[in-house]
Amino acid sequence: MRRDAPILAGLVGVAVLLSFFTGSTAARRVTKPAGTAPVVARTLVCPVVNGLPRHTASTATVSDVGPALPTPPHGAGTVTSTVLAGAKSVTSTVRVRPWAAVHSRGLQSEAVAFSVNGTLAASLAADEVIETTAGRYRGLAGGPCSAPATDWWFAGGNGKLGFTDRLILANAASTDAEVAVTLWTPSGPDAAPRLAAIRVPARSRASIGILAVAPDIATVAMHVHADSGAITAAVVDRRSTGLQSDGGDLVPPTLPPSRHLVINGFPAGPGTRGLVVTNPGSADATVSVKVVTPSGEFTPSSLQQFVVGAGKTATADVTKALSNHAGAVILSSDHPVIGAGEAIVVPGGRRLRPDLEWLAATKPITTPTAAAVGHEPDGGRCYLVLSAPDGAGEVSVTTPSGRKTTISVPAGHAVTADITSTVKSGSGPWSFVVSAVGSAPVYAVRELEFDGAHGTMITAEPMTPLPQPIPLPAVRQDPRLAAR
Amino acid sequence: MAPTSSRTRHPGHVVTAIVICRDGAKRLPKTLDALALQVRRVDRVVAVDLGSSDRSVAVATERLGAAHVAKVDAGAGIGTAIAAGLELVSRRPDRRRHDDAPVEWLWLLHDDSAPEPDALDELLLRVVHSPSVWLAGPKVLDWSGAVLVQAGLAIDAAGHIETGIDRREPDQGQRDDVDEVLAVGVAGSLIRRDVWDALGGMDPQLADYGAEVDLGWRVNASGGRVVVVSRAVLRHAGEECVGDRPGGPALRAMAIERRNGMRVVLANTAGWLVPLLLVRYLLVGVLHSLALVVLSRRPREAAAELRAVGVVLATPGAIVAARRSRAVAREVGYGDLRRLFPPSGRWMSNVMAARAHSGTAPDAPLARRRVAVESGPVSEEVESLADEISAVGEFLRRPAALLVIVMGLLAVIADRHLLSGTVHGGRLLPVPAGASDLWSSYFNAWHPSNVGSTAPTSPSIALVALLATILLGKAWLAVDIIVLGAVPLAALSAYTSLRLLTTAVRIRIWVSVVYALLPAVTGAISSGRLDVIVAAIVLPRVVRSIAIAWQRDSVAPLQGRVLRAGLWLAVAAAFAPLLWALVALVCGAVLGAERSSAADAMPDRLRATAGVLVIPLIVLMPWTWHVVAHPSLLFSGSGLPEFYGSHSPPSGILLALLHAGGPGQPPFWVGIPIVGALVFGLQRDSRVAVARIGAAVFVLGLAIAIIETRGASVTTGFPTTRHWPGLALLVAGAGALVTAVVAAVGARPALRDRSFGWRQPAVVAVVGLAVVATGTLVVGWVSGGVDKPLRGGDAAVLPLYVQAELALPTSSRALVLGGDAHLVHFALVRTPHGPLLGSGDAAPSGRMSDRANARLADAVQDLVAGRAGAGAELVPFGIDYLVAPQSTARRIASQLGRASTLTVIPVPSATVWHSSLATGELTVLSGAAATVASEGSVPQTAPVQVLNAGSGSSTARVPSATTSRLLVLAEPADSRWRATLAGQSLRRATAYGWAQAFVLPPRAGTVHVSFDSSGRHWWLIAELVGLVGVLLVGAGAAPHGHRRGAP
Repeated sequence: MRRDAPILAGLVGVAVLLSFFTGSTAARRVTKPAGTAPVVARTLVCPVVNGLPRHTASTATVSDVGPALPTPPHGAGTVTSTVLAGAKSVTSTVRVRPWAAVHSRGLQSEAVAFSVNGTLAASLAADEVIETTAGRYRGLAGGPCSAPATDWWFAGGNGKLGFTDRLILANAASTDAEVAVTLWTPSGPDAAPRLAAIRVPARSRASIGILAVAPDIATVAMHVHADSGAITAAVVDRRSTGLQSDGGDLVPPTLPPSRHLVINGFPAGPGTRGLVVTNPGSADATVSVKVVTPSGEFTPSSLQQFVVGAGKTATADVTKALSNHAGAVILSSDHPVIGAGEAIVVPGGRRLRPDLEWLAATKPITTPTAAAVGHEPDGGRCYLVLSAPDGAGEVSVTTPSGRKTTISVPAGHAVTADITSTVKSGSGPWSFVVSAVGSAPVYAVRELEFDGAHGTMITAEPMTPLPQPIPLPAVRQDPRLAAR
Repeated sequence: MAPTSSRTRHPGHVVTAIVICRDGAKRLPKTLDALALQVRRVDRVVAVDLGSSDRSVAVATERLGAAHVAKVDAGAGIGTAIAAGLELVSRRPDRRRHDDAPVEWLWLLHDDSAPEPDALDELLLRVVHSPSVWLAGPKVLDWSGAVLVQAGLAIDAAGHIETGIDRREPDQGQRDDVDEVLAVGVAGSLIRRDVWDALGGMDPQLADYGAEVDLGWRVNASGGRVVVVSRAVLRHAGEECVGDRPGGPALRAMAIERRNGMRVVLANTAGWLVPLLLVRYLLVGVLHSLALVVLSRRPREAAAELRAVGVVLATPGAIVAARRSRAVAREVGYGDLRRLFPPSGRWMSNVMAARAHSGTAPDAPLARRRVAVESGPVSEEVESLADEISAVGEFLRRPAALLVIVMGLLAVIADRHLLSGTVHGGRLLPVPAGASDLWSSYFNAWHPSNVGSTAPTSPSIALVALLATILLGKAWLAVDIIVLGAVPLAALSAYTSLRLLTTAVRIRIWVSVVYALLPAVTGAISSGRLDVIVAAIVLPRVVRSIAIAWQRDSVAPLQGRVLRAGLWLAVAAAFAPLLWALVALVCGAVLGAERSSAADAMPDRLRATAGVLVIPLIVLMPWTWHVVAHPSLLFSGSGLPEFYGSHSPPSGILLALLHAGGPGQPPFWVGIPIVGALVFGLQRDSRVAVARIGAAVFVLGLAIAIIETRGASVTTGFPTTRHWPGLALLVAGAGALVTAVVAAVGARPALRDRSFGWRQPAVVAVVGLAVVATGTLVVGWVSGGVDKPLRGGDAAVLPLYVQAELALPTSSRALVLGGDAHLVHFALVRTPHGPLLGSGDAAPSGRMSDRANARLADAVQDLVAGRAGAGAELVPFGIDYLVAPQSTARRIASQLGRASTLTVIPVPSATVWHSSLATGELTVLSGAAATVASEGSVPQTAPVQVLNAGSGSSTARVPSATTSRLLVLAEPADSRWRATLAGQSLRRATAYGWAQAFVLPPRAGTVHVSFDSSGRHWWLIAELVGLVGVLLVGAGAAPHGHRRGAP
């Protein structure tokens, strides 16, 4: 037998053997890897700068809180403010040193958009405060001015008589936005045709009365979705009994449907404390309730669990559970739900009128949060309601002027801290930054309180995270996408 | 009168002529005269009359004497007649000396067969000098002596006897080279008396038809040889007298022919074939009968056919007895006599010829090829029609034609899902509308591919364009033929090329089928790899032409052979440049190995090899230089970027079994018999060099396949992608199959010569596995069809609305997005139908192109991250639309929605965003925007003026302006872009850091923008000159004519 076949077998064998010991495994490499980019441009829209109704004054305040941050940035940039009036929109440059304010003009109901370019965008905070001092709609409302987004969830709103709730949609972009609004009521979803496709013109504001779209329906939850473009949405809740005001507030946007929600910021004191929970899904949700108060975390015997039907909105009374204490409510559900809290502060005197504040489900503080405004227009006090349901937490409150205070929150407890003296700063808006010091999650709500001639005026606002470097996704060019 | 001495030549041989008469009084005297005039005297003459009713007996008696005339019944066959004649001469010739025992021969003649005077002398001359010849026959002409009637007989597997001679074929010596045959006709045949006795003469069961073929077969099987002596000529009037001979009704004669033909085959063929033949006869008989009834409306003939088949099947005892009687004398197996039988495909034409010739007397000389039934004078058109039909039939009988037809039909079934619309998918881009588009993309130096590419187009596009031009401009048809016809074309290429190695049809067919269905070929088809597909079709021709170029004793001039080989290699290298490198390596290795054994042929071979390798380099310029400058093109293949991927490299075992991986792969084990045959091929003692070359090519291809699959991330951004080893494994498979041919040719005799050992069972096992593997390949390919990603139909990914927008004069573009929010894929689409073959796969290269791609990636990243101002980053690229499938849109819509300049447009099955910012291929920036763009940034809010633009060149009118302006092209900057305003050249600039721009003066006018392709055109002219030069040098040779045979 010739040697050709063994030689062939040998060569092939060597090649095959070598193949098992050579070769690179796939290494990750993309055209452009993921990364982060600094925030150098930002738009904050204050949708409710109202001069209406009468006796109302609104202020949209923008403040550079950079000096209050743990690592103060060298903020530089230009800020403009635009009153959104469609073709008549007016843009003017705003000098933020370190704050600036835009006030409502007479009996106008407007939206104002602050646009900032430059590194200043990362340290700018904006809030709006609406004070109606007298009349049927007396009350204090306030909330952060938010960046446009495509989705907003609200678990609060009322179409019953005596409630003049309105949904405000503000479009600060140069192109029209197409918006769809979905409603959930105690009896199920409400598909109002006029809410299916709302066109909000460029640089304009649309205002929709809840009474018009959900007449005589109490407790309306909403999902606002921008099919095209991005908008800033807000819900204004004002109540009255006859000609007597029952208070009002901006309903803050709450978190998207989730199985675990923390609604923090219930104030101490007498009054009604309630929950609004909406189940947007197709299966009934069983919601468990826990309460976090200064005396600890517990499951209230009066409200351990309740069921929220599929597509329905339900309310629950947590007054007894909170027992006039400040604190937070923790909701756990077997199906994703949205939730909000409602606190009606009842004054001591009979002639005094109540006020209300709305609370939203929020995320714990993980990055520095800011509030541009720390006091009611006439003064008053500034509180922080902190809850640490999952472990002892600690936060620091710092101001652009350099003042600082640290607040500890025991595990499973809620704390109300009066930070007025810390944040007070002359004629400014009393801006401040709240940062988490420990690792345990802490939930924080800023509360403004003013004892007026007609009673306490109160409003709450969740602490708004300052923008972080933008996570950039990995991208890669794939010519095959261009051919089927 | 011949010299007396020649009449006594070959004294040791006694010839007894037996003249068989039947109503042949008309020509019997001439026959007897011819016998008397033989140069070599006939020793004894007897006549046997088969019941003649004319004066045949009287004439014979008168000339030969009553003692030399025998009579038998009219119904007795030739065998009986000859036996009766032998009775008259039963006395053996005297033995003078023991060692001088004369050899007695029987010379059989018909009463109308007149041998030429030297016929017997020539016959004896042959048999004396070739003792192995036991039966010899003359060349038979018609009575006029001008038309060839017979030069040997054969029979096909269906039992049709054929002469191999055309109807009315004049004798011009064209059959004089016929020597060894299966049988000869009775008339004029010379057979040894002892052989006749030993074999028992003619089989009486075949008395009325086929007995001579049976006799010849038995002579061959007994160890003797049957030859035709062309110098011995006999004139036979048998065919002309057909109408005069009582042969019974024509249908009965036909049935007898069929019956006896089948009996001859069944009695003499290999035992294992008998049951298969019986089944075949039954099936073919039924089908033929049906055809006769349905198509030809000849029910009686159909009945005759069925009767014949029925008689054969109903008398198995006769077959058994016949086989048993023949087994006694059989010394040579059926396989060793295969060369004496007609090719397998002849049986259909013989059926057709037999139908046309129905009515012939059973024992008449048979000319079955192209026989028309004449009912009277016919026009020339009818006679020529018969010739034309016979030419078509001749073509269809060729195995190559049958192979292509069968494989083509199977390909139609396999490609059944792709027959609607143009094929595309995998790496194959959709085809443009016509050949002119392909030519245009080949001639242009700039391509609208991705951000814009100036990479040279592969010459493969020119070849596809050439084919499309031949097909009347149908580019889609050209690609369809190449891709969907790859298997039959590759099979045909392999079959015709294998003629250089062997003439054994079955081996060639098997190898061709296996080659055409190699995993590399089916995988290439499913993956849309045009380069490997064309390589598979062309590779056998390349190998064959190089082997011919190396031949030492070829009559064709060397230049012509080298030219052909060089051009074939150029065609292959145009699609797959790696093939050129592999051919160069193999040629170098072979020349190096043979430098001592073939030293005298080495100078010619070196010259030939140099020519073969240089010709592609010349005719493929400037592509040649581009490949040299970018060696990764050797492995990257053509078309869209590589998508074949795996986290770990493919195992060497799978590669060694020719399993390439990816779609369209058969089971891995089908490579085992190929490799097994390779091993056996190396064991053969014949064609050692060919076997070694094949094995070396196999090892080389395997090594290349292993090497090229070791690296990952061959496509930027796709970490698991690897080079597909199909081309290397195609070469390896071809090498293995060449060695397999060496193993198969003559394997049976070679095994028979060796003592029984491990080889015989191993070969049986490999052959069995090869049969199963081949069946698996064919059935798998046909039943499974061509696998995805190749597909047919519409290739556009953009919604119709967006396609319409992209077709507008502003030539805006669309960005297609895929993936999710964490990893986003994107592709730029510039035309309504997306990238097309020729222009779509020219990958951008160059610094500015890289920068443009990086900026585009940045823009996509910013968009999906929702960064402010990201919408404006689309303007420099002319992107007006973003398109994402619904699955992707759900994940990124919230981020994209933050771009204030994007508006959602609802379309079915996708989400489309429209940018509100004006943009297009050609824009004008003014004032501050122009300044910002010149500095490399993207102006955020300043509007741009969009001009109408075309692909590669634009003409538009610009108004006057008071501020500085920049004319910006959404293409990477390149010095070959030109712009003029009213005939005056504009100064070049760069916008956005990468885009081509021109400084626009304030005046109004018509601006013209174009890309200077003159450099490319000069290169193409040089390429054409090179091609013409090569053709002229090679055309100096005479038209090719090469001898057959292995190199």
